[in-house]
Order: sequence, then C-alpha cells, then structure tokens
Amino acid sequence: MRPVDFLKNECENLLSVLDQTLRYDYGLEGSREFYEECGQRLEYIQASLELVDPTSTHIVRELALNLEFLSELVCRIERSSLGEYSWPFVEEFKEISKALCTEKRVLKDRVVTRVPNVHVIAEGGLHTYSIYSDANKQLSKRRIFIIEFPRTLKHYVLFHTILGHEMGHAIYNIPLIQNELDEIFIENFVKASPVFKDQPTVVQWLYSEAAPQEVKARLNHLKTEHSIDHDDFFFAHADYDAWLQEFLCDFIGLLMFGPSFLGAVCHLLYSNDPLGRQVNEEHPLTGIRANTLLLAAESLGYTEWKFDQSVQPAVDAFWKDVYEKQETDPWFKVISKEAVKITVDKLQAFLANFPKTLYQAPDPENINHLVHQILDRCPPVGYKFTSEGPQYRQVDFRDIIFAGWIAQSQPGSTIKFSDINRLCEHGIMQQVSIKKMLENPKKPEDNKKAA
Amino acid sequence: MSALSKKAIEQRLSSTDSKRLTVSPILDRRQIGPSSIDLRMGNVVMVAKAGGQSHVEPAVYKKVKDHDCVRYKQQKHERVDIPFGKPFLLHPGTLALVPTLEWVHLPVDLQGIVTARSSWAREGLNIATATIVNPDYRGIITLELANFGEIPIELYPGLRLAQIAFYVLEDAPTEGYDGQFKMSFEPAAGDISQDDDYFIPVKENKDKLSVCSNCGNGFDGGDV
Amino acid sequence: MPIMSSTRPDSSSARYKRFAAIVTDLADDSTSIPAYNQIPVEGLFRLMEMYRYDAFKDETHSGVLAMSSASYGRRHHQMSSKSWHLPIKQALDSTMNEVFAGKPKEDAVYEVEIILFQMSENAPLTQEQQVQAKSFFSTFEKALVL
Repeated sequence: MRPVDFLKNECENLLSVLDQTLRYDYGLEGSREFYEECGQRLEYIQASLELVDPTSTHIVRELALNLEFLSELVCRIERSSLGEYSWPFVEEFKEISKALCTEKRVLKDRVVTRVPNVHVIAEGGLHTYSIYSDANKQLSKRRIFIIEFPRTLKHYVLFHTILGHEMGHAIYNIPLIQNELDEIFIENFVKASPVFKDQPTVVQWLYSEAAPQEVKARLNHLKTEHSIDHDDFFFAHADYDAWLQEFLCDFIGLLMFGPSFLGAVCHLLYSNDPLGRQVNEEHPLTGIRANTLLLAAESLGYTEWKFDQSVQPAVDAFWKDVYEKQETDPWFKVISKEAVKITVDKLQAFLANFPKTLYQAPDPENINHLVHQILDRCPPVGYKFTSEGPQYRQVDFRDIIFAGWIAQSQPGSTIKFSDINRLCEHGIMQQVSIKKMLENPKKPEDNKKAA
Repeated sequence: MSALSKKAIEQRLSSTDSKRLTVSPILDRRQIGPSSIDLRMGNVVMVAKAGGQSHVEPAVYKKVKDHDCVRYKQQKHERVDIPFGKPFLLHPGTLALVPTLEWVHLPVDLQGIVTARSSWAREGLNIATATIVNPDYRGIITLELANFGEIPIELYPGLRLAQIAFYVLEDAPTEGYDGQFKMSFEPAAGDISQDDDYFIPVKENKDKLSVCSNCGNGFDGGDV
Repeated sequence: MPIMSSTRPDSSSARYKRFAAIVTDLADDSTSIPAYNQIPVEGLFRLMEMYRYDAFKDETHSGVLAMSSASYGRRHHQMSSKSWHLPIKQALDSTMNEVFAGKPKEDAVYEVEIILFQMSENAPLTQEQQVQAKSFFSTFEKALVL
C-alpha cells in the first residue's frame, strides 16, 4: 500500500469512529456542530488525497499530520460524555467562553463573527485543567475549543475557576485579541518590570547571589545534568514568552473569577510545589505568580470588600490563607504595585467589551445569604422563604463559588471541603432553574412580586 | 401524628428556629398545596441497564472492596445527566431513579411522605412506592419513577412530578437522623442487605458463581 | 517509547500552499463552494488576520499547572515551531508587494479579506475581484517554497 492509499484507508476508519461518537450524549447543544465540523475536515482531507500527486512528499506529509490531529480530536471528544464533568458549571462557563472566543473580523463597515464550537472533556491527573483551541494555522472551518477538567475533581467547582487562566491562553490565539493584549501587557507590565523587561535581565536575576537556595539548587542541577547554564537558559530550558503569557493569563483568570481564582491557585499550584520555588519551563515561579496576583487583587480592591459581621471573620480567614503564600524575600519583588494596577485596570477595561466576562463586586447581602446556606448544609441559591412567601434573586454563579471559598474558611466550621463543593455545584444548577423562572414572561404573579 | 396544613407548612418554611423546614427552591408559590408541596424532577436519571445483571443480588450490597461486587453495583444502572430543556423518555415498564430539583431538610419532629401527583399518575407515571423521608434528612429526594402505561412518557427536568406531605411525629426524637443517605446529592441504589447479613447464606458451589465470586464476607454468588 | 518519534514537524507552509492553490481555483465560481472547501477559505482568512495584526503567536498551551519535568525533545520542537510563520510572512510580504504595489498594507489586506469573506458566504465576486483573487493567491502559492 502506498502512503497515500494508507491515508485514504485511515480516512475511512476515522469516519467510522466519528460516527461512533454519536453513541454518547454531549449535552444540550449536542454533537451536531462538532460532528459536522469534523466531517468537513475529513472530507477536505479525503478530497485532497484524491487529487494529490503521490510523489509530493511535503503535501502527503501535511495531509497525514492533519489526519493525525483530527483523529486525536475525535477520540478526545468521544470521551466527553456528560456524566464525567460538572455540567452545571460548564453550562455557565460556556456562556462566557462563547462570548470571549467568538472570532471578530473587522471589515471596515462590518464585523464578521465566527462562533466557536466548545466541548468539554475529563482527563486523569490532578492538574489537567486546560483549554485546547485549534491554532489559527490548523485545519478548521469553525474553531473547536476543548475545555479539559481533571476527572477526579468533577464536582470541585471551587477549583474550576482555574479555567479563567486557561481562557486567557485560548483568547490569546485570536489575532485581534492577541494584538490588544500584547499592547496592554508589554507596555504596562513587561516594560515596567525591573526583572521581566527582557531575557538577559531575567537570567541575571535568576542566577543572582540573592536567589533562594531552591532556585540555586535547580539551576545547578540543570547545569550538571543537562549542561544548561545561564547563557542558554531560555534557549534550552525555559520559554520567556510563555512565562510572560502566564502572568497575563493569571490576571485574566483573576478578573474573570475574582478572589475565588486566587483561592484555587493557592491550593492547586502549591499542591505539587509546596514552597512555590520550582523553576519550570513554561511557568514562572509559583511564588512570584502568587505575589503578583495578590498585588492585582489589592489593586482591584478585593481585599477591601466588606461583608456582614457574621461572614467577615471567614472572609478575613480566607485572605489570611492567601497572604500566607506571599513571598516576603525581596528577591521575589519583580514588579511594582503601580505597574500591576495600571495593567489590570487596562485589562479590565478591555475585557469589559465581552458580556459576562468580568467578575463584578458581589452584593454583600447575597454573599451573606449564600454563605449561611452553605454553612447550613443547603445548596447556595438566590432563594429564601419568608413570611411574605418565596423570595428570589438573580445570583451570578461566581458569587456562589466565592461564597463556597468563604464558607470553607469559616472558623470552627466542620463542613467538609468536598461537601462545600457539591453544595455549590448543586446551587449553580438550582440557580439556573430560578433564572429560567424569573426570565419566563409567564411567571406566576406571586413570584413577580417577590422578585 | 398529624399532617401539616398549607399555613403550617409556610410557617415552617419561614421559621428561623430548629423547627424550620427547608424545601429549596420552591419556584412557584402554587407548588404549595393544601397539605403538601409539589416536587420537581432534577437533572439526573438512573435507569436499570437492560441485560446488565441477571437478577437483584442482596449480597453485593455489602460494602466490600471486591471487583465483582463493585462491578455489579456500577453496572446495574445507567446514569444519564439531563440539563434543563432536554427530554428523557421513560419507556413502559422501566424503573428510573430521579432526584428532585429541590433540596429538602426536615426538622427532627417532621416526617415526609412522597407520592405521585395524580395528574401524572393518570398518564401512567407512578412513584413506585410512597417514599418515607425521615426526620432530619438532608438532601435531594430520590423518586422511583415507573411508567405503568403503554406508551413512553417524555419527561423534562423541572416538571412537577411528585408531592410531599409532612407529618408531625408524636414523641419526636431529640437527635438527628443517621441514615445511609445523609446529605444525598443524587439518586443511588440503597443497601438492601444492610444489617441483614445473617440471612444471606454462604454458597458453596464455586463453579456456579454469578456476580460475586470473591466476596470477602462469605458470599460466593448465587445459583443462576 | 513509541515506535516512531511523536515530534511533529511544522507543515504550515505546505498547508498554506495547498490552501492558496485551492482558493485560486475556487475564485472562478465563489457561489458554489462545497462546505469542506470553506476550510481553505477560512484558513487563509485567519492567516490574513494574523498578518494584519502581526499576531503570529499561535501555540497550544499545556495548562496552568503543567509542571512535569522537562521533555527536552518537546522543548526543542516547540522552540523551533515559534518561527513557523517566518517563511509564510515573507511570502505574504512579497505577494503584497507584487500584487498591491504601493498600496498601504491595511487597504491591501482589506481587499483580500473582503474577497475571502464573500467566498465564505458563497457570494459572487466581481470580475475585478476574481482577477485579484487569482493573482494574489497564485502568487502567494508560488512564493511559498517547500
């Protein structure tokens, strides 16, 4: 069999596997768009294989790579059945994703949009939060975004806020947005940082005498085991651009999910790097990320938010936990608070163009109500029954998650973290039903009054 | 034991003391009837897998970390998540476990009885048994739905399928409920053999094991 | 270890060369482009957007917490893929110069994008657009050397 014939045969196999994906259930929006998009990609490859000169090795190889990528994509989707991830969270998150990831092309007098296809899968591993997007250069008509959750953390909606960061990476691949984000971030953060302004300065700082022992040990290991020294640190080991993008995406995650994002970062990032001092290839040191995020949270006024006196001690305990991650060693000071403030303010202004993307300061009364529901082991929702009858409120699903983080910090509370997560997940689901009822023009008269 | 009237139910729902009854959320005040509250269908359905098991085997409900026992329990039902707006078709003769949309917490002096709503019952949809909800229970309520009619019934999460009536217990307990379903988030098969182990015989014939060949507590499966 | 290397060479130049060849042909009748052939149209539209905003950072990321120890093969592959766009950008520059000599980049990109947009809608191209599309994409195809 010639390579071209093998690939044609593989196209048939893939078509069969694609058909088999429809054995599973993928939620309300279902599988039609994904099935059609992948079917068209496959049809394109098949048509190309029919026309290609079998001796054109570059083209044959290119088509083989497309087929391989498509095969991976289809098999991933096959594993995305509804029962493996938290669909109440996903339904809410998808709304933000679609608003953010829609490609907008400005053609003088008109704007052309391309709405992406968003899919969700669960994978093994504790830290598999990710969003895979088709790259611009990949074969696609309609872009596909795959949101990946850790399978074991299915119900842990408090951790799912990490996806705000991943959404940053996903939107960075949209040229118009990349252009805007680069302008904001490079001008206001990178150029203002005495450390991150360029690669040589970062290297100088990393290899400086003042660096912590753990950093020195890792750099020494790279030198002795892999012959990587300061001259080729960013060529052979780490990725400067990727480090910068991590800071940017941290800010986007924070703006999207508020203090809950910090809570998730402080739990998850430190779970396999307890000191936050590992030198990684694509991620700057966790300690520096935590410090920078704290500066951003302060700049956004999060730490000043005041709540009911019955809830405030838990809020204070939440922030105390977060501040414990702060590195006070001057070596970790890589950016001024002023520069962070200018950067997050500008990012906030940019993201305000996308509906529902930004986390708004919560109504203290809402938070108070939600936290008390959780502590009372009841799913947190915008509902209570008073002597007047049922009362309803629209509650942002991110308020429910923030209330979860506050409840888990409640001094003396015995409620388990896993139960808090499940209560919040349940609350998000129930809140959807309240939203449906409140938005129903035929809602009962009694409810109208209450709302 | 006396049933709560609508007025008494509303008083309990709005109470702030230990007698408070929680049914959250009640999306429509008309859900509260003269002596009951209507309950809506939640977003998960557990349907017994046709061909999954040969029979119901009490012994596998023992909490033993045994491959066959766990497999039996895991494969007995198919779990389907149904977001709002998506239908679920309940076929004639099928039993489905469905959670209520509402989260319920009963104070220690109340017992709940869940039954089908008559309008649905007339269509063939029945709550298989009148479920008793114990005092101090906390969580969703599992509805055991069965289609007794001859044609399939399309169900949507959010529909009012059942109703719960409340009864004040005489000589109410002072401590809470300690059942196996405490803080229940979704329907699950119950432990039908709990505390009845001594009635389940040890089976000797190793060649005729069906589902639980290596169970640690003396169970060797059943003759099939 | 897999039977063969899992490192994938970048094949973007070959892809865009094919896209350009297909779109050159499609320009003859933009009203009946089959759905699967909208893929090269969209692909070139995205390329023009990257070119327009000089936004070629197009990697897929490995997650917020990916902290596994370095796979040096992967690293080198990723490092090299960062420059995937250079020959393509160069080919676009030379095509722009040849087809739209003297025209500001923004205007030239607009003219190409509006053609691609109409093709994506299966809308007819004017005679002038047809000539321009065929000229632009065939020049671009030739400029991409594999």
